[in-house]
Amino acid sequence: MITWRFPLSSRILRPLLWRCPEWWVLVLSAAAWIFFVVDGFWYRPFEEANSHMWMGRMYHTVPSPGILHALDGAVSAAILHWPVMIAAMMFPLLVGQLRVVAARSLWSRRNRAMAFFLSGYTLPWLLYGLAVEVCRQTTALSSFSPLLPLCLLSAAAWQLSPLKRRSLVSCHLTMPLAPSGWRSDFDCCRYGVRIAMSCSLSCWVLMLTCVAAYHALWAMLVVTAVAWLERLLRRPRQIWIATALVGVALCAARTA
Amino acid sequence: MRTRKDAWKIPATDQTLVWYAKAIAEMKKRPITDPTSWRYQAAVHDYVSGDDPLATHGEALPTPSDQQTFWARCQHGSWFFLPWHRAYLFYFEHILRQIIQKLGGPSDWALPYWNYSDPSNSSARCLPPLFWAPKLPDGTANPLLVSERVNGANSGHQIGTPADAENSTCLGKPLFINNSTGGATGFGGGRTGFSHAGGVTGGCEAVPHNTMHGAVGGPTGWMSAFNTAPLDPIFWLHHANLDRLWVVWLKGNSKHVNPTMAAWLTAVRFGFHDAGGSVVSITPSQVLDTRDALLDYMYEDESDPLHTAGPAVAPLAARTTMEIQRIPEMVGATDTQQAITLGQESSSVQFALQAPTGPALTLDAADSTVPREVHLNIENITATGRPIESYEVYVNVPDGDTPENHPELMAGLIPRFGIFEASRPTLEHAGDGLNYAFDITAVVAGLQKLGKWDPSNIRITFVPHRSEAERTAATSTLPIRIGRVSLYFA
Repeated sequence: MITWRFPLSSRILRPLLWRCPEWWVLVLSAAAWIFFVVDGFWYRPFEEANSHMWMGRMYHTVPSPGILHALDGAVSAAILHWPVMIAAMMFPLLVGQLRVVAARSLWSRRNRAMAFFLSGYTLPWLLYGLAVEVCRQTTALSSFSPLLPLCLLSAAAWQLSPLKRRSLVSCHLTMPLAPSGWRSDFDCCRYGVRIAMSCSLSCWVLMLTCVAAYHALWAMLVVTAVAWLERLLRRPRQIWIATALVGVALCAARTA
Repeated sequence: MRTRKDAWKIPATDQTLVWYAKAIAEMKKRPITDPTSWRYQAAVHDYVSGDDPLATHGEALPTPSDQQTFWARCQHGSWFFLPWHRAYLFYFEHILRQIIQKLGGPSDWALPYWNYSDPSNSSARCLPPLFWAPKLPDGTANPLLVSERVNGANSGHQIGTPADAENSTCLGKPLFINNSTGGATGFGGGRTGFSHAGGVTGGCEAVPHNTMHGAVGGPTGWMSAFNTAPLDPIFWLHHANLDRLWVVWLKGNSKHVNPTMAAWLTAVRFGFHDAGGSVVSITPSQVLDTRDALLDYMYEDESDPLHTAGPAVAPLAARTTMEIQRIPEMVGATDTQQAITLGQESSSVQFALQAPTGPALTLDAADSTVPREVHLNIENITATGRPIESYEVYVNVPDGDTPENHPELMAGLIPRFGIFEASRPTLEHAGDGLNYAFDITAVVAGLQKLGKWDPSNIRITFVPHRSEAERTAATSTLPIRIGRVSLYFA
């Protein structure tokens, strides 16, 4: 009789997973990236721009002046697309906060606490996504690509603003969490919302850039790289990031 | 190699402190736009526009870009606390030495240190006399004298309490890094990025660093706030002593080692100005050894007080390897609805504990001879202004008894230093307050031995911590608020 044994002994794997309670969130994020890569190969966003298709495989929305149609399309986009984008781009940035949530929770509630935190975190981003999509649909802009250089320049300017710096600092804050009961779930969710408010204020123009670039992989990678850099350095030389974004804007303008 | 001398042991004929005073007087003449000026150097630690006691109307400040790059850079609640302050002192000393040389002083001048924990000196907690003398020996005004200090500091009285100056707890920490999210304390602080106000405060940063800051500054003095502390000349001697403790900790036990991760050693560069006003940058990896060619200094006394104190060393050596593997598990905390506001009176908070179900349980099952560690976390400590009080924290004080009668139940101190700055959302702080972690393993072991440890419940008592001078002076208080108190097994 053949018995299957897990390749890593529990003595190695278990402490590793204990020390990295956020592992399943990173797996989710990786899956989201795989989705975008595959989707990008199958449906080339720039080529499809003229045919009024955007992220074609997920939903086909033809811009329409009708508000109900627009709202319908926007809701579809926000609900279907934005959670995947947030999972891919933002979840890996939350490792520090997830570890705080896990460490400040009872052992049996760690995963549940992180799940509530992520739910709270996703909510403001979905509302932001909904607002962007409504705007996109109601203004009947068939293509956001002409706006891309403008978005990148705006992002460069935003990087230098005091409000941006302040919100970036707030992305690292911690909050007291109740240890058990519904209050614990509520606190974790509230903490997620609070962090998302800071993150969305910090990165709203950058995320708009992704939308303007039809969620092209290169744009998502640029935005993710900037967000990563900011999180790791905490006080990065924003002038360098802004200069880099201006450079990308010039490239985008020439391409357009 | 230069020697940083003990300020209390400098002979009367030695002019080290006099040269220090003269160099400061020279720095004070320079405008704040000059990186080698007194106020610019203080602003490198922290600067709050509108809260600069030396600001004059309409004065020119450095450019916003310069301020953003070089000001408000001090590292607290972070594993960069020690290397950043070592580099800060090194370049400050560089500026002083160049001035002293120009004034005709010694070329090997080095910053002295204030060893307030010296058991052989009954006046150790008093400021060295030249720091409160009205005049220098040559009859000129004394720039070392600052009136914004706690009552009694400028009349030669002892500052703070022995608990404020105590250094054996931090020197006994087996690891440099503490868990950034709490539950375990180390000597140097928790892993963070470059952080003006980071996670859980490290052992030596909590006591004696924060406690002595608060003890010298009192409720409203300069030493009690990030942005004004370096304006008091004793700040630099206080930090030289902490820098010395880092050397002592490393030499005290062969298993005491600095972090070896690139994230600590080289990933972050600290920016300063040298004596010529030129921009310089340095990494923690360049400040690990004070005796290397770059730093080139040593301390007059680098001996480990724990070695002469007796039994503390042997258990440490045995514990070190186990500590690395430990993962703290939270077993109870206060509810966030339960407001914890500390004022002038003692107050208590009680919360339920659960049996461990994670690593702490496994640890017990695997080897019951390994002593479980117990850590008390005080999280998100905030205040709306500068707190008047520091607090002593006690565990399970018997009903009706006075906490001060039970020193064996004391978990640690919550110093007032930095609480206000860490509570204000600014360009540098998230405003979520300070966090402390106390190792209460010995306290709990003592309670267990007496049969007074309840594994399902714990009560924490906070008592205002006052020196003799403050007992007579304290008339009002600004409360501090604690977000949560939690207990960890590891």
